[in-house]
Amino acid sequence: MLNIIYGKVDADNYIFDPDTFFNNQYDEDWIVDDFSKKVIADIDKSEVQGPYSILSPVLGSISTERLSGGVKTLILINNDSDHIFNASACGDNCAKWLIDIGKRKDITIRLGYLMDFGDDNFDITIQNTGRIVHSTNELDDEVIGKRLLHEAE
Amino acid sequence: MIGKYKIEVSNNRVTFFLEVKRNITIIQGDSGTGKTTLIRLLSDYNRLGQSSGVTVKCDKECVALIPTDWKQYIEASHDRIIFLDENNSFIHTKEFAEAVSHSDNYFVLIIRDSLPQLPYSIEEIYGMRENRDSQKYIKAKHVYNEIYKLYNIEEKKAIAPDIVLTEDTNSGYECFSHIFPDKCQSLGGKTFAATEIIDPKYNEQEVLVIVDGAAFGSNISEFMRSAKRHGDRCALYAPESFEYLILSSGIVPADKEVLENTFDHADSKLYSSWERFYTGYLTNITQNTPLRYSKHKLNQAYLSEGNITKIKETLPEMIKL
Repeated sequence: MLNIIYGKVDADNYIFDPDTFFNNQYDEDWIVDDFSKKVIADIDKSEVQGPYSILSPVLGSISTERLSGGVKTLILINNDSDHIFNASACGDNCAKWLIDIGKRKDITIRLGYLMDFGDDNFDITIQNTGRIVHSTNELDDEVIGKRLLHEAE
Repeated sequence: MIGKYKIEVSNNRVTFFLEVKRNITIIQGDSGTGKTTLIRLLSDYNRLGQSSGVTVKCDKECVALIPTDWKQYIEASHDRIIFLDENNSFIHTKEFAEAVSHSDNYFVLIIRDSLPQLPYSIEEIYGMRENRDSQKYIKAKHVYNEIYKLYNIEEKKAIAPDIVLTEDTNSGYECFSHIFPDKCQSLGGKTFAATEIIDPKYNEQEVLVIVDGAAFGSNISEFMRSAKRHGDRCALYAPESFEYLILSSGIVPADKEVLENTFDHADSKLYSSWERFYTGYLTNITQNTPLRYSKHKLNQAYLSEGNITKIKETLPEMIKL
């Protein structure tokens, strides 16, 4: 199940900057697995050549550290269950991949914006309130209606 | 700092184009569109200059490398365009908002989270778009497209509001209550716009929400999500500010050049947003005149039949009165 904490997170295992965390913590096996290859192809339009090398159509051959912040965060979420990652590093084009991971395992992420999860039904637990939502309208009722992104104001 | 600046950042593989004209510009959008690459290129250029192989074309110095003592750095900087991405956690703090509010620099913030403590404009939210013909050319384009400052409504579609919601109970509310008698309500603050219209009680009504576009940037994404479920029955009218509306209406002798090229007049050191600039400008030019303007209580002279007609004529045609 995909669990989302909207707004502020107070937890020792929260990673605010997944980009830097990835650069210092990624495991080479993560890069060459099927999920990572698909995500890198879809989001960064790039091809995995090896654990340390990616072929980008724009930048040419680049190191793994130069993948986009969104891709790095998705790979972390897929492989590291010990941390809560700041998924605001992921754009709307990462939403389907978060749903995909959430179908396979329990994950908890943080979001500071209203990611667009699309028109299809999904299962997401809003951790702030404990409610499980199944559509964008239900999610908006909870997040906008209960001002979850304004709690600190 | 004043002015409008074109920025071009490139190496031999990729070129970024953007233009900034206010103290705060926001870049957001999908992952993998090159936002991090832009920061990386600028950082390389800041460290190594020409030796980096990066070319930066801009009339002002563009910087992406910020030291740990960011507050002192911003205070000591003048006439710079400072790029920051979401990995800088201090962007969310009130201290940063204070440092930006009267800074002599422009800021380009690459971040998806809204920043409610900063008064940025709907107009200055951009997403990175690849050139249709080549992935090598990436240009910053507006995220929120508007028709005469009217959002969530298609061209040629009219809205005849059953209810009009304004940000607060200041002068704008008094004026719109006059234009839309018995239909006008205050939201009690711009952050409540999205929360209010998500209420099913508006499902069968045509709703017009009027806000100051110059400072509504942090609220627009939530608002558009709420408005989407009402379709064309809910529209956002977001002129720069109510004061801008008065200045453009011809009621007061405003300098057309100031309104058309506000970026050359709204000094970021004096005004944290154009909304503040227009309030100051209107207050200033109406001092010691029968039209003396106060933001908190509307001078009744603005409600004369002739002046109300001029304000009505300034509203987009798609708003049916």
